[in-house]
Amino acid sequence: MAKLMVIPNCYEDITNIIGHVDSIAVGLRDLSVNFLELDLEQIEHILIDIHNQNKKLFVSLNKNMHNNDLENVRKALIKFEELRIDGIFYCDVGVLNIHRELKLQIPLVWSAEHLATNYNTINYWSKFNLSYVFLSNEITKEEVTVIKEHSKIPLIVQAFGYVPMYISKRHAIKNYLEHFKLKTDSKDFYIYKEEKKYPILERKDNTEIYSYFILNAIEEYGTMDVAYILLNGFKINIQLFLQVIDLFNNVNEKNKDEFKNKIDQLFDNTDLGFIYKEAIYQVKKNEK
Amino acid sequence: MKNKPELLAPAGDLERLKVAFHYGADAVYFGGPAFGLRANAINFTFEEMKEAANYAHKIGKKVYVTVNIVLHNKEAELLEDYLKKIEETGIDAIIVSDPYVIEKARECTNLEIHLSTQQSTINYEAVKFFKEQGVTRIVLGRECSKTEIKEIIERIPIEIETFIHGAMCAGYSGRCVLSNYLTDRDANRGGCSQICRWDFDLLDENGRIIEGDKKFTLCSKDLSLLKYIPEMIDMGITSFKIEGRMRSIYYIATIVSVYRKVIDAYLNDPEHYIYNKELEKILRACANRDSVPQFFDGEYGNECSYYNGREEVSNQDFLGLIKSYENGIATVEQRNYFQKGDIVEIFGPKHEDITYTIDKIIDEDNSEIEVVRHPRQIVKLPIDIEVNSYDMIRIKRS
Repeated sequence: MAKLMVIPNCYEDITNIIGHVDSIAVGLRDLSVNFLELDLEQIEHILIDIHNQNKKLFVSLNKNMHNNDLENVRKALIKFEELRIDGIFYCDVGVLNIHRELKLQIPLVWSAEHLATNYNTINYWSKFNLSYVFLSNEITKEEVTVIKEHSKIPLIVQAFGYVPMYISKRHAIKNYLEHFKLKTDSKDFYIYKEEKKYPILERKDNTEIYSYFILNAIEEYGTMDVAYILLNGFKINIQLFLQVIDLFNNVNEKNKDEFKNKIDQLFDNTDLGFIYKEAIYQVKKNEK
Repeated sequence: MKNKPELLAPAGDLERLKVAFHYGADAVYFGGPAFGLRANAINFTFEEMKEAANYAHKIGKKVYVTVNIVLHNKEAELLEDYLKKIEETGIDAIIVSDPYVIEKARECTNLEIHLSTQQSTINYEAVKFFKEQGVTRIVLGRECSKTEIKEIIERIPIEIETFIHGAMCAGYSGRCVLSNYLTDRDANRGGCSQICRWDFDLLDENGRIIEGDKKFTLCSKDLSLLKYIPEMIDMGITSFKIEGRMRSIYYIATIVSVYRKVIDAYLNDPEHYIYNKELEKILRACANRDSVPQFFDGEYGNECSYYNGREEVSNQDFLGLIKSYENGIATVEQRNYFQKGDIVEIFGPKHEDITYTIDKIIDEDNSEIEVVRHPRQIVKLPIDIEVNSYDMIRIKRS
């Protein structure tokens, strides 16, 4: 049975969540995307609680790193090894290379969101002593099953929550507001098209966009035997999220259909993403 | 003596490949029958790859093949056979993104391996890693500034390729799957449907539209680094890449010839090199899209965004392609409507631009006609000054 890993929506939610899950995953401010960003001090603080309860804390350094980020990555990796953080999510190969050169032991999670799509590539990365791979959300359940059979690295699979779709170095909201001299006090933003509303947010160095839907794959992945099932709490109300966590903690082969319906009833925008459909890919035949 | 960078052009098919070489490209890149990121482009068959490689090598040039999709289980199983077939065609290198392709290519072929921009490699530690994995050239992510490129080149001795012109991804390559979620087309397997060019409503936390004069978009202006070419040559960049495998022969000819002129002018006499601003106008007219240096000079604010409401029009400047020239008569294939009396410009790599008024048009039946209105219609134009096959005729803009 897989363990539960959760990305909290906000710092305050962590205390409420710890007791109900096996691990928490957060991002280090200015070096991560698609995770709740925390300062080093906040991470040190929650780590005490988390380890006191024999739970695990993973930290993400998963943004695309520029040269001037590398020194901060180096310092962060050394610090997190000292702190005995339980794993580091990364996307940029530069992070892996620093980890290798410093001969660190802190476990690494390859987390390139959309690129972990086949077992051959995952097994390529296994040569570098990775501890986990966070699978792409854009593959089918069938593909996940095949990967699970052949992967040499334990898997993390997202089974609930909004799904990251886009990372850019540009500041899309700020640029728009500046260009048209617009003002707003809003803290949260969405982009809207064809009756679908996509969460969009800016960080210091990036813009992120998420799916319009909340992935609800408790039926498909809730009982799957992978290392971790990941529940993303981004933009999820804590009371509802605790109910979801409770369902994932108690799901089994008999009740998974019922639990799926329960989650569907909690939210009006659940979906299965690519679990049963493959995105179109076909090279056009030569037409002269 | 300064290092001469490679001018690398896109080629959607053999015709475009020949045009790119004719106008001064040192190398071209194209996709094969599978595993490329332009599923909608007309890609090369193995036979055409072979022909392309032979053609290029005879004139001292190179060809690279993209094998840069993000693999799924099924494709990975077919990879070895595909790579072996590519190697047999004699091409010079493959451009890959998925590291498993690097491993497989090294295991079963002797192909040279370039790392695609799809990996978004933007720091020297990542460059160092991929160099150790056997990659001989890195195509850097377009988010790199010149300071960053310089530092990478100074720290890690490896061939560095950077984009100099063309469309930009709005997001980091490989980290955008908008196309998957909004149109069911896999962006990382050649199906990108350019959602970044769509317009959206931007909503605040209460669901109210934050409304500018134009709608919200992620769309970016194109990249153009024409004025930075001397600086980029001095930085020691190995290869200057032009984006656009799906672009027309006119686009390729125009962009390649302009960059060729600037590279050669600087290399021939760096001390007295003067930037020719007129060339910028030619680039702009050809693309019909605004272009800026994007991330290269470290500034990438709202001036890089493109709030045009999708009002782009297709380029009508390109009137015809000269197929041959004999005894003062040019045989021309029509590409856009033209007529007697039009003042046009003939451009090509072997001569300065020729201004010419069309005073006589003869059709395939040897009849004199007034207007050439049929796509790809073959006509003959009497032209006093010698021109060459692959020269192009465009409308003269004063």
